Amino acid sequence: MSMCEQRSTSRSLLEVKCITKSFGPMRVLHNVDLHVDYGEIVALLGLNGAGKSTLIKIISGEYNKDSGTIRFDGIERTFQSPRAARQLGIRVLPQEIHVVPDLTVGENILLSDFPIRRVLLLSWADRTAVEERARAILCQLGVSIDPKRPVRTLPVAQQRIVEIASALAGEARLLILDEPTATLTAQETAALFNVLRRLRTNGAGVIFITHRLDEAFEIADRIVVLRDGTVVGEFIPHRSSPSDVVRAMVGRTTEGESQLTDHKVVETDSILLQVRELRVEPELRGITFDVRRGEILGIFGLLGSGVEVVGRAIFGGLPRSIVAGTIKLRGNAFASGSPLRSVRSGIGFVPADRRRDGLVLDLDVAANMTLPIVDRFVSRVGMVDRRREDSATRRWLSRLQIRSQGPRQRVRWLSGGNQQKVLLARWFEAQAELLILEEPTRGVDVRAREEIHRIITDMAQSGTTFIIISTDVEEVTALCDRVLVLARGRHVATFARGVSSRELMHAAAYTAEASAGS
Amino acid sequence: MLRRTQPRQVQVAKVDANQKSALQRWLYSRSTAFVLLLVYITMVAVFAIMSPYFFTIRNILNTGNNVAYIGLMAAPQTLLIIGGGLDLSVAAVAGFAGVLLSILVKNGVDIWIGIVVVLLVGCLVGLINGFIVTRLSINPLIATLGMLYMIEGLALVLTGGLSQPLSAPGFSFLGSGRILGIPVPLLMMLIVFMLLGWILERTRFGRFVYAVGGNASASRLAGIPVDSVLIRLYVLSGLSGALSGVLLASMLGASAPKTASGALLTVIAAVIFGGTSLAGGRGTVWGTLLAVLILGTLNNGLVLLNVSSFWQTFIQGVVLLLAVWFDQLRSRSVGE
Repeated sequence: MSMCEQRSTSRSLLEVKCITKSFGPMRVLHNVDLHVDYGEIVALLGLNGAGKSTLIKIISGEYNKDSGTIRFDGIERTFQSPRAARQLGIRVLPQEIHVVPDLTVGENILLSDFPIRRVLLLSWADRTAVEERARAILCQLGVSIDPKRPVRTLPVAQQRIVEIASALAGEARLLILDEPTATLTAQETAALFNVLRRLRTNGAGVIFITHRLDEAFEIADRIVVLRDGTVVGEFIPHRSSPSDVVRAMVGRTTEGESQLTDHKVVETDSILLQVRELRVEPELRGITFDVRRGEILGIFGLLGSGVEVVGRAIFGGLPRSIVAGTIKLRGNAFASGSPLRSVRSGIGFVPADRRRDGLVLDLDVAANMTLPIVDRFVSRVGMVDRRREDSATRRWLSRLQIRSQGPRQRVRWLSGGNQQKVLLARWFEAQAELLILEEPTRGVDVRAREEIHRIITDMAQSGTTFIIISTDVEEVTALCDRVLVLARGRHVATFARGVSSRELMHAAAYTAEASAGS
Repeated sequence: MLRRTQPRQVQVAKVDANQKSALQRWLYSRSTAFVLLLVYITMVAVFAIMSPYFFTIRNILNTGNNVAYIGLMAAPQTLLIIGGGLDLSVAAVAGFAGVLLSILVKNGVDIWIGIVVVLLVGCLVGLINGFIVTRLSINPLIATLGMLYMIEGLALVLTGGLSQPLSAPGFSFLGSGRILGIPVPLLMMLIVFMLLGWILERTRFGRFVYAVGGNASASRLAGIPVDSVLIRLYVLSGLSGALSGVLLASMLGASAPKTASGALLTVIAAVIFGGTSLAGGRGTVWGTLLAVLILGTLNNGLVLLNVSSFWQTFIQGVVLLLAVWFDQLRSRSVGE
């Protein structure tokens, strides 16, 4: 695949050859070839860090390539900016929807090329032209949305369609969609796919990035799999099986196996937490599981599978009106919903976005570490005993090897991995019995990742129970005693330690189809 | 103190080693309060040279005394803004408190009981503000602006817009008495600043104030009762408004609905001038105290130099802008 063979350029809308890209010493893409024909939908698959987004950013002119060629419409191009790529008709629609909520559908669609009437020096929006042109474009996509409606009032899926229509108004010829279905329901996804099929018949090309195999098999004409910066496989959906694709995505099956297998669950049958029919509207549709004392339980799923909300549904922090289900802690009914109550009951929570939801960046390391339990450092006159706080903090700084200038350094200046360790230390110091960690190693370097995994295993050994919620397949296979797999808001499979990354991915990405169909 | 200069210095050295002079680097690595202290000392020195009446103990004490009612409101406001809130109704509460006290006294209520009642009313207004902001999730700027008009309106209704005489035996001591030669209002202001400074820097509550203002979402997930912290801050602010109104009524021997209205912007300005971030999470009461003293001294000095009061207002604006601009430069240079 990476031999960079010459092929005829006449049929292809986009032809990318031998693209290589490095960031510093790290090679992200290596001799990548990718072509998209006129009227073709190509699904681009790969695990986190496989190089998908870098490739897309090169195609759309956001990054410069180190070497290789890009032909668009048969002509070799070097894009100096995203604007240049856009002018040729290459449009990227990122994961989050970008529309102007207070403008109407028509105004959003024609935003980049607004019909204007002029009389002398005055100019104003030509409303009838806006409506007519917008209606024509929507009609072309086979959808009927009133161009006069404010976009704010539309459901997410239709906002996405407005975004696509807007790209078409700007004469997009290659649409690149980055996980467009992550937040959509099955019906909405189907509607979106109809729009994409329309685009295909009109001769546009589509690159569709997804994690969901079932969707790739449903919509794509061709599936391209990236792994570690190279193209490792191309599949034609009706001629290949999902497990072939998963194998290509994950690579050698031994890869995910853990160096940390020495962890033994403290052999007790005592259940710490019972979760029954936990629901969060609309992401989580009733999951049931138990957590045993001293175990590391993984909850794995793709983006949009409900993994984003499980942690808060148990710990609290979501509006009470959207959460339902019963939870028992140590056999007693536990009303979730209030973080304060959870903390008092011995539960700790480390959110996925540590800078937004975890740390107070302007406070120092010690204050961040003792935040939930600062009471324990308050002396009789009501003062925080800073000396005692310092020494407790120092203990964790050295035990978890947190690199900092000391307890009074502002946590803002610490690296991502060290910030994460501060949050872990917070709950260790609080002696939390159950720790819920979301994406515990997101955005930290390899070394910190290993250290954090080691810390979690050690603490589990000494009796702390963990729930690890992650979209990172290697992380859960390396770390967890047991892994629940979520797909489309449901619990679809459970695996014991030793499960391979491939089995997990398969369960998460493919069982989805079965449950969506039902 | 929650913030230390140590990491800042490191950062400064990293970012600016080549571009900034030694003086700039040294200045930039100090805290806002320290810079304000320099400004204050310089200002006192300049006025002392230019006017023979300025540098007398009597005048210095007077200067402090004149801004005491502003300082009384600015100190709790500092905590509130650090905690991510804002109270625009505080000065209206001061006016209302004075008016209410006058009316109570006129109707035969004992002055000291009246004062207690008025202070409780101040707390109540703060409580309502706190509830509107936290439970109804209304932006504090809008919530307290609404409260400002409501309170001011009530005061106008109660008085018909007229000023009310207020005198009771012993009452004038609050506004014009002295303890150990120090004017009572000034003393009260200093005590309030020290008390709140201690709370902010040493107690659990103070820690929560910084945490809530710095990152409310993270604080909530760490189990901090965010709403209750904010409500308490609003109550504190309402109380300070009432106290300030009582003081002002005692100093003037009368009260009127809008007595303190003009002070509102000075209060907010002093807090910002003192280095507190409007975005919350950062600031000290010491910065605010110095800012209040600087603004007071500026006025006093300009009066002694016979500058027209119209120009005084203009110069205040210039000083405020310069100070905030400098603080921006400083905090940008340490990469905040």
